[in-house]
Amino acid sequence: MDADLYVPGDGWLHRTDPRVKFLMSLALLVLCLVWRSWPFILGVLALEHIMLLTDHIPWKNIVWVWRILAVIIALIVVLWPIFDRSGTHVIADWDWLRLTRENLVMAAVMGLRIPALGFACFLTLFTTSQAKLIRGAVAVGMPYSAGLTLATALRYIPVFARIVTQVRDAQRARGLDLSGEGARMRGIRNPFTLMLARARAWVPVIVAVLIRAYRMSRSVGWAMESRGLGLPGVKRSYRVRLAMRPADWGILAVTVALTALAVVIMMLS
Amino acid sequence: MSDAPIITAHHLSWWYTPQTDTGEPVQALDGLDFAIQSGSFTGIIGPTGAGKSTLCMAFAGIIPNPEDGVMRGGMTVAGYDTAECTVAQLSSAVGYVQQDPESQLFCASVEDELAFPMESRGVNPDLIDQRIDALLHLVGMDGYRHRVPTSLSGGQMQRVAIAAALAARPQVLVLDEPTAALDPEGKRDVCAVVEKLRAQRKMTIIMAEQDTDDLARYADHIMVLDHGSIIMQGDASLFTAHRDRLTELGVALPGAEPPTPGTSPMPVRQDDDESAPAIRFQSVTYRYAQGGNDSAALDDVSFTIPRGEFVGLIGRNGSGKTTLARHLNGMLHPTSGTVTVDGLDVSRHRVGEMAAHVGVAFQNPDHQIFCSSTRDEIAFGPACLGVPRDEIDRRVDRMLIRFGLEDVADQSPATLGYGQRRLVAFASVLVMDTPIVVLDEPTAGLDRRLSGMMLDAVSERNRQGATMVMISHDMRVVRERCTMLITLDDGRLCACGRLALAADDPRRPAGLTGRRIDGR
Repeated sequence: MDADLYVPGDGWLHRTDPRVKFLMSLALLVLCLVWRSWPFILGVLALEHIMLLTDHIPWKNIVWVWRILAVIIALIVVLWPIFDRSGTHVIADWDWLRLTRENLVMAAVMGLRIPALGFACFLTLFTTSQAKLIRGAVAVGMPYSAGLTLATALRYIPVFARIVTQVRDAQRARGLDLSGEGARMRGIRNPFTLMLARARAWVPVIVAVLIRAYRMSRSVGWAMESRGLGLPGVKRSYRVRLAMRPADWGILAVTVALTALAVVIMMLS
Repeated sequence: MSDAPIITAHHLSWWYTPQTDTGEPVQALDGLDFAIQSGSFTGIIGPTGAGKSTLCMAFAGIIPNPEDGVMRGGMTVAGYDTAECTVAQLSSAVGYVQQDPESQLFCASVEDELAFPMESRGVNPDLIDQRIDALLHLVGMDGYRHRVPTSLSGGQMQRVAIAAALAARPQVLVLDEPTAALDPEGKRDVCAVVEKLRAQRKMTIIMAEQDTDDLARYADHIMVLDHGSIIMQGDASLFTAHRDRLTELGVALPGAEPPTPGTSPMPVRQDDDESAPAIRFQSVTYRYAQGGNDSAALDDVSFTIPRGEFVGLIGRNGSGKTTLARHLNGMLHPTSGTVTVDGLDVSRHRVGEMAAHVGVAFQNPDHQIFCSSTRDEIAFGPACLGVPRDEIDRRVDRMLIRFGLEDVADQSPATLGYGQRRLVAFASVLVMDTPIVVLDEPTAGLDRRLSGMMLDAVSERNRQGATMVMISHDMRVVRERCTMLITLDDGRLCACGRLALAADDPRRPAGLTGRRIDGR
């Protein structure tokens, strides 16, 4: 992912009006947050993959999402049973860890929920260009400056990821040890002390990245102003014009119907 | 060119707000008085840190607002008093192109980038599309309309930035060192666009540059800045009339770029059989797992570099120079083949371990600067390598003196000007005293005085026995400093040999034999 989050294409999701995609993403986000049912979340995850694949989003982009979420998923699945000691069907009980059928199921639900939420966002982010994203946000009532800020922040995520890599390489080339090997060689064995040493080793990277990010964001701000952003007394025009096609209305109707169905089933269960 | 000035400055001075609580305001412009005629081409030259970029920011209205600082005097651009209007208002008259292409292309496609200034002015959407095509044609970028800006080369990105600056049809175009971050091909492309603009459009062009070749050809007004003051101005004849003074300032004088030097078969030192070479590549192939195309970034590359050489690593952008350099300290490991550096198989060692053997000076100083003082910044590398504290102090003092950084030793390096940040970053690599040093475009964007200071320090380390590998597009520097040349093209080794040196050249190693080292 060395370019934008947006994946250029002409699939059905790409052609869908951004406002409809916002609603789809929002409905999936809310339902996944509210309904703690693993079959439902698993179903949502499958549906999201089907939608992306039928839009011809390449597998490598889908795998990239899984990779960036993997650490968070693993942390949640591992930590959930430690902090949630609830449940009556006890599988194992040690002093600090109580494994029950209920907290393991909940760990799985929480683990599935992260990618379900992530892919709900990427349904829109992968398939909506920056211009349409801003145009759609403005059309649903968001101020232009907020829409531009959001879209620019998303646009620069991969740029900042590359800056982190460049800075990390530059610091490692000066002998900075980010692997924790140096701390182990100094005889540190305590895992928390090791973790702290590794976290502290990242300070030179984080500070340098922040300095670089500050300089870049300042230049970006100047570039925007020098291209007329905030020109007083002018009503902004938009090259991208939005119009709901029959297909968009159809997708909107299906989204509303499926959301209503999910809400009914959730209430009945 | 009209007689009426489109820009006038009256006693214009500017002080940057100090970036630390205890800091002093930094004066960047000092009582400038000048007038720029409508339709003229003005070149702004001067050493690094002379105030060229600050003056360009003043033309665009970034100074006095939104940049923090204090302004005295004033400037009028196309009827706008820059102190009384916003940057956006002034943008109707001034198009501004910054040095770094990536920081000024904030949209996700080329067409969005060009549409933005027109949308900001409420231009009819039906007209926007037509104007985008015309602008792309003007800068020679037809067919790039839907491309993601970050997928373009530096020269292409800068041409898109010029097109975006022209989208609002300004009367003045300000270019702040637009070619400083570009390779020769990118420079040629951008200069061709400026030349085309000069021929086709009746607009005022102001270009700050280190490279004076094009200014000597096109500019009808040259301003020379030093320490924020205009020390001379006139037409291009100034380059010949004040040759000595400009050289003394560190300004590169116009002159043809020397051709790529030739190489001769690779003779070796008599003692080569007894000592391991500094660097050996054996059938090295590298393919990027992500983001690369199908072809190998390095394709079956083999060569040997004896110790103590000063190697120029040259080739076009994308030829594999950076990929090769990243193998030297283990940032990349070959897909196949073996890289041996300072007697170590690089694949078996971490980057942190290789740092004791190979120092890498990156082009962008902001990749590494993070400490609260220049002294600590320079000391960071040796401290990571476990060098004793008193030895670190001794080395750091030596570097501070060597690069004239004593006065800023306790100042945060992040608050220094670009030239001094480059020196700090460079010093913080040289201070590690590694037997091999890799330099990535050490002279890019610097004046002759600063680049000479850096290269003299490098040559000194080289004379002391260190092996230098320098990525460079600057054939003047390669001819002056290198003893060996490696040329890459499309990932393949095109040439590897010793530069043809005169018999009395001090770089010519003693004890050469006529025996040839075969690459493998």
